[in-house]
Amino acid sequence: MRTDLTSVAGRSAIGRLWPWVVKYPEVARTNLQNQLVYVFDFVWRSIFLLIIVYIFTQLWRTTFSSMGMTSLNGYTLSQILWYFMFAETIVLSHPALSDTIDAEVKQGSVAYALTKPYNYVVYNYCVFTSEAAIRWCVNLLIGCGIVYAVTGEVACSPQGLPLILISVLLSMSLQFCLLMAIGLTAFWLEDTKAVFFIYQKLLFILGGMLLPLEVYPPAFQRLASFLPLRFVVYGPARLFVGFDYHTWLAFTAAQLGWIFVLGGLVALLYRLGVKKLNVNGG
Amino acid sequence: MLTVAKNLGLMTSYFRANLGMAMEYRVSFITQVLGMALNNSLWALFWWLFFQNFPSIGGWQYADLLVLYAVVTIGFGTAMSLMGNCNRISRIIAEGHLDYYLALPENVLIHVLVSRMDIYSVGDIVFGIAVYIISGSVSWFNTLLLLAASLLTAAIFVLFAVAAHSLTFYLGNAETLASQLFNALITFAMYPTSIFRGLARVLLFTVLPAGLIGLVPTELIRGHHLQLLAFLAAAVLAMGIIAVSLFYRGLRRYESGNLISIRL
Amino acid sequence: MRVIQVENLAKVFRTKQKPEGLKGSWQAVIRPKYKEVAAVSDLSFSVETGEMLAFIGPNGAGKSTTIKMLTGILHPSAGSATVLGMVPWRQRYQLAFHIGSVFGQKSQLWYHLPPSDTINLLGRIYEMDPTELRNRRAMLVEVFELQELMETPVRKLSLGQRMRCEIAASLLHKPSLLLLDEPTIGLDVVARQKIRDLIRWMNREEKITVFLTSHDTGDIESICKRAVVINHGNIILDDSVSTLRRDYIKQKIVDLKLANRLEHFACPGAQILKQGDYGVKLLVNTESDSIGAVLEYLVGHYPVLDVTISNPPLDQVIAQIYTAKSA
Repeated sequence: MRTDLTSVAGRSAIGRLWPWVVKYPEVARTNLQNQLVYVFDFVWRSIFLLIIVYIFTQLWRTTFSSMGMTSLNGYTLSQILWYFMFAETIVLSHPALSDTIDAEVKQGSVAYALTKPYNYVVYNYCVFTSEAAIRWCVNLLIGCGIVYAVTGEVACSPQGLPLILISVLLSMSLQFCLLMAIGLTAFWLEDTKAVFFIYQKLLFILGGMLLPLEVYPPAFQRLASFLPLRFVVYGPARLFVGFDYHTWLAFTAAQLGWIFVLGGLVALLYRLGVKKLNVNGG
Repeated sequence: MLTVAKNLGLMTSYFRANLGMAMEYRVSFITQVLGMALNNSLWALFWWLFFQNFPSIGGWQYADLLVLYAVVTIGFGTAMSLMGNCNRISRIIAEGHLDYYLALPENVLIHVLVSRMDIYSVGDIVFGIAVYIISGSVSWFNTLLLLAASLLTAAIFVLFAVAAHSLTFYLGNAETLASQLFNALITFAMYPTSIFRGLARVLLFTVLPAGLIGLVPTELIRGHHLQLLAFLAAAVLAMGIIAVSLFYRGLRRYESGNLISIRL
Repeated sequence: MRVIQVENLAKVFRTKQKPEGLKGSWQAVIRPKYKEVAAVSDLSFSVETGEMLAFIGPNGAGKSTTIKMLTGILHPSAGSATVLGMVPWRQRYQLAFHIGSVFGQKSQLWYHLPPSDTINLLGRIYEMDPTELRNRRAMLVEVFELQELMETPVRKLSLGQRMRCEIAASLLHKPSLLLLDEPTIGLDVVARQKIRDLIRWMNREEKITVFLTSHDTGDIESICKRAVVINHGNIILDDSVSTLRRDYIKQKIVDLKLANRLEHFACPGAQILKQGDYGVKLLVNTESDSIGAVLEYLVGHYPVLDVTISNPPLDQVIAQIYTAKSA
């Protein structure tokens, strides 16, 4: 029988931090295995990516040639195509987190998670990013394949790639915060699906998924500049087709800032939600 | 004549029943309609932003795209609100519900199709009409053409779904495949067909008739090329023959019990 | 050491009343009306190390509410409780390392993966030493007979197999206290028996304290030595199971199916509850009459096709206890 009941309380600071290094990555790793079971699912989603990237390559090609243009607001045809593909791969990699959280709140699974020694939000972060990461890698492979096949050119800057990976990771973390916040409102709202739906549409337009933000009229650009959405899609995609260190630095700082703010929001919503749980039950 | 009247009567009864159900769940109905309106508005906005930078693409202007949009949304809305089960045929077959329809004295295919009507798809129709009005191409003649084109488009949607889902009779549960094909059809139909060349273009007028949905009706309304209307009608007829025979052939296989593998 | 110490624990839920219609929704926002429901009132009891306690009561009696308070999920409205020396709602995280819980409907196993993956993950979550994890896992696999199940995806396991894995997983980190909320719900007779045997074994070998909620009298009789009966948020009985059996479960229900059509039925020592054409339902008072004698009579006099002997439903037992206590 365990008699070391005081061992948890009596550990040193490092002793308390070390398990975090071990515990949460393991969550991520387990989820990765979980995902590989869905190979078939991947295939279907990849087909959608193929179709949409193909359509947009045709659209832009026709547009550029019929207008006799070589560039649009700083983007060449090649760059616009690679931009679009990269943006799509990011958006298509996001798991439906807000729906999952909504279901778990409504079914009381959050309460159950409280009986285990891990933090619900961090746990979900690991699950989310591990899934998004693998989906993104697969999407990127397919996306690059088709854009290269159609354009014959590579419009990305290889020197920035490792830093761009950081951008993508931060963008996923940012998306996590946003989706988690939406999902946690299930503690108070009947229907979070509607909120997510609206959010997603905003992301498509003001996040720069459908069109690079430079292409928008000034009013839209100004609106987009106030929102964190541009750092979920536009930021990494823009860096992908035209990397420069200073822009990367600026974007990264902004991403970190938004993650800090939104992460705080998530923490607050979670605390309030748990409090509600503590008082009202699951 | 009797069968036509009978089928129309069947449709009316189902329409009334589905409408009643939609009114029961008013909040859900309104939410879905609003959601669709938002989704549709987004696309209209996207194209508006796109066309801010260029006056036309391959001969198409924003107004043309709006007409295209009107045809697709009205056609889709009509298809879903009258024959909402067209995308559930695979599931109906796989789950054995087909037996229910087979035991009844109604035309099996029609009955299957009309027994579910997604009434909230009426929102799509309304949106389509609104977009048409905004496009500025309104005239009596155009409106008649729009009506004809939308009805034919609705038929194409339904027939394509029937053909795709009938594959379940031959290949086992083809629900995912069929719905992916259907989504592909809609996706391709929403873009100006003139951007596609070569093999893609051929495919878009045959196997995946997005061109029939997109290009033909729009050209029809733009340029008043009435022969396109005849072409469209002929294409729908051809599709009808293919889809219906695929379904009934498959049904015969089903009835003869060769499809034990499907019944889960 | 006292594993659980509960004093005057109470939980009152406030739910908002929403009247019908649009006007009602508006009222609910401006001037909300609340309804107060006392799920648990003035609960006091304690549990010693190694005890096997059944917490029983009908639906809505307050069982789940109590367990939630003991795990720290729910904060009480009044009263105090300590579990393993900790206050659950204040030291929830630390307490989590020392308790194992199985909530019947909820699963902690990842659905699409084999249990072995969840076990590895849990090993990390509970910060177990790798060698310790390995040994512990091997032991549980052997005791719970999970060798063939460990590498099968959970979704392919039957409910009984899944529950064995769930309970094994909940014991991985050697908790001092095991909380089981309706663990045998939905299981067939064989699976149920297996689970009960395993729980008894763990209690014997590792002195794990078991706190079980159920509304299956079979669970209670097989596993637990002590029963706490709760109804309407109050404890109405806290005694050993043998006392409960002796004093209150004094009846058995015999369900009989006959091969031939029934013309006229009579059986000494049994009271007819329901009679049909091919079957009879009897009530036997085991204080005064022996089941054996009744069965012997039935088999000797009627063409018996099938016999089912069951305990009276728990609700009935509770009702009896309640009336007996109020009298």
